[in-house]
Amino acid sequence: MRLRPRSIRTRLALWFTAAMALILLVFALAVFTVTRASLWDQLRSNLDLEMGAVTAVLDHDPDELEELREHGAVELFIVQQKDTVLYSSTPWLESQLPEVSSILDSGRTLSAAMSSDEFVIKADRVKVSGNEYIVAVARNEEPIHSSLRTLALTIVLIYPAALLLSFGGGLFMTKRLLSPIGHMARKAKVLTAERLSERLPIDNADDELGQLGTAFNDTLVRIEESYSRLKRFTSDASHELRTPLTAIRSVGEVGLREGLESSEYRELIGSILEETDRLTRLIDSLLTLTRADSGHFQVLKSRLNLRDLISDVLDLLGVLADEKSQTIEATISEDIYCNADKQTLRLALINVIDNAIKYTQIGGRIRVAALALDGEKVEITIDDSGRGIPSEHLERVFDRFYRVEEERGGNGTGLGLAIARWAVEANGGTVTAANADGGARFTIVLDSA
Amino acid sequence: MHALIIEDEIKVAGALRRGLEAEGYEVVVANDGDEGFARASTGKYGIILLDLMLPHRSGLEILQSLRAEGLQTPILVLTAKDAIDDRVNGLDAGADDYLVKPFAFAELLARIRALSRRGRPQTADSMNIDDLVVNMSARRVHRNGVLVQLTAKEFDLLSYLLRHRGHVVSREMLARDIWDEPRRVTPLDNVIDVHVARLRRKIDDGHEVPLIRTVRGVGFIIEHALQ
Repeated sequence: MRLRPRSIRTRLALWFTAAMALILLVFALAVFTVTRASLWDQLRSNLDLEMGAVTAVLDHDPDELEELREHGAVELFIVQQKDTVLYSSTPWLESQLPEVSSILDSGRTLSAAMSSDEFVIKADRVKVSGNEYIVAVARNEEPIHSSLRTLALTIVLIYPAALLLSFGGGLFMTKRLLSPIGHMARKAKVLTAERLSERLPIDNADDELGQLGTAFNDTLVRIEESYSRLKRFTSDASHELRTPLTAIRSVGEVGLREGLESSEYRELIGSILEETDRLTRLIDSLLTLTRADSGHFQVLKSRLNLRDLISDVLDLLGVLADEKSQTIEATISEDIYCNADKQTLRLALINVIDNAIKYTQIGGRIRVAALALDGEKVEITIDDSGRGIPSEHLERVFDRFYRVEEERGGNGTGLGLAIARWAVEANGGTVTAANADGGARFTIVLDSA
Repeated sequence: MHALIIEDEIKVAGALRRGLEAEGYEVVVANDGDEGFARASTGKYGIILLDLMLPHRSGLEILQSLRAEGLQTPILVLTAKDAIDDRVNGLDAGADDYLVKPFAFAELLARIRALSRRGRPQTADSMNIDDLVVNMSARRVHRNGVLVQLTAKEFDLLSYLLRHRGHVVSREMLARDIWDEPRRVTPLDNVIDVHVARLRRKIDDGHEVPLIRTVRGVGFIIEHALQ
């Protein structure tokens, strides 16, 4: 198994140090190479200068060669005519350098190791006032080697210290940078379903960690919303289920009293059955919505003629409006098509139009219209002449079990508009509620086809 | 007719037995899968009511084994699983029909009647009860010799009630058979009630004893006025 430090902090510092090590290594090698090359260059150009000096003195006055050495301008040199040595500086002799002729044979410069020291020798033939001489100058290599040794030693000593420093610096920096994560983690640990209102602390909303924290907090907001919706739904649902159950129970208890007529028993049992029926329908509706929530519901979209679909729904529900002496006007052009699943869209229309009939007074009117919007969408509007919806409730009319007036115990389940919204949204559309023309207006927007 | 009920819920089985016996069936109850299978494969029954969730042996297994043995008896599956897959599986395995719990007893009776009627020609051209005469092909209705004007829906409703005369017809049955609605949405119940109320007004107004009655919490029934 690979060794892997657990904290991001250590890992970052290690990566940082590794990068630093590589950079420093390249840097040190470069410094070393360049220094070495320039030291050697300098040595060679010094040899050239010395050669020039010796030649110049030779040309001017060969007797001054001794002075040249004494003044220290040139340390090691020799002047020969053929094999006869004309002048040789004392250090040259002491250094026991090789024969100049052999140097000339093997090239003009050469390194020679003599005793413990190494030398670079440069030899050349020069012509001065008609005579040919052999001139050679030499320099000890030792100063170069010693400089390079010192440089290498310095590098070797400084390198680990620099690495240590960079690791420490890396740890310090990452600690500073990552400290908000620790805060967030501690805060996140105390988040529970009961404490969803807590938020993560954000030091700087603009940096990466701040963005992460903001995204997390936004998610928390959504979770909190859906959780509270779920809580409200559960409590509403249990209330709705409890109401018929309470009725069944009390009716049953009444029925157990003695001395009732058989017709009275029938009444009681009938009322129990009615409540049972209501429970069944409620559970059916809840199941429809639950299945929709779980995403198992599949819609089969096709090209639907809205005029046909709406007339079908109005045929079905017309009697309900008729009973309340309401008029329903439908203005739908013949060739308006939408792309939707017939069953679910029909369900949505049934629920929305039934809602309009229910909340419109006797003798009122309901208008259903469909029109094409910019070729991409179609819009169905259902207007009624009822009391409208209090504006603060517009958002919530589609909530499950939501009723504008507390008219529980009525015939509805309080799920009609919730089912309508689900059915429209399952078809990729939207449904909204508003107040317009002295009543409520529901608007359904769908893809056209 | 003999009926076999294979159902492990004692209360449900007891209620079904009492209800069917009241309708004149002779009823045998089996409370688990093994007993149910043994009784079904040895006895002779006119109808078998089979619960799908059973101890020992699932309803689907029983269904498949019985059909594999060549049993022809109509089998009505009762299930609490309201999922398309279960219905399809049940019908594939050889069920003749299915009912999802909770169901109305009236509906169960209607299904049993329909299953035992199968293969027999039915529906005369003219049906009558007391002084009400319904001509099916002409779609005309007379009460006491007077023509009653009905809408198409009202006529369908009346003839459906007449076909089930003497038996309660539930709103579920009407929603499915007359309105052709796959699911029973709340508005539909109101629609059904309005149509039935109008039909009753046209048929029974002005007559001393009504033919069509509402059975509270269950549905509607048409029967002899004298009963």
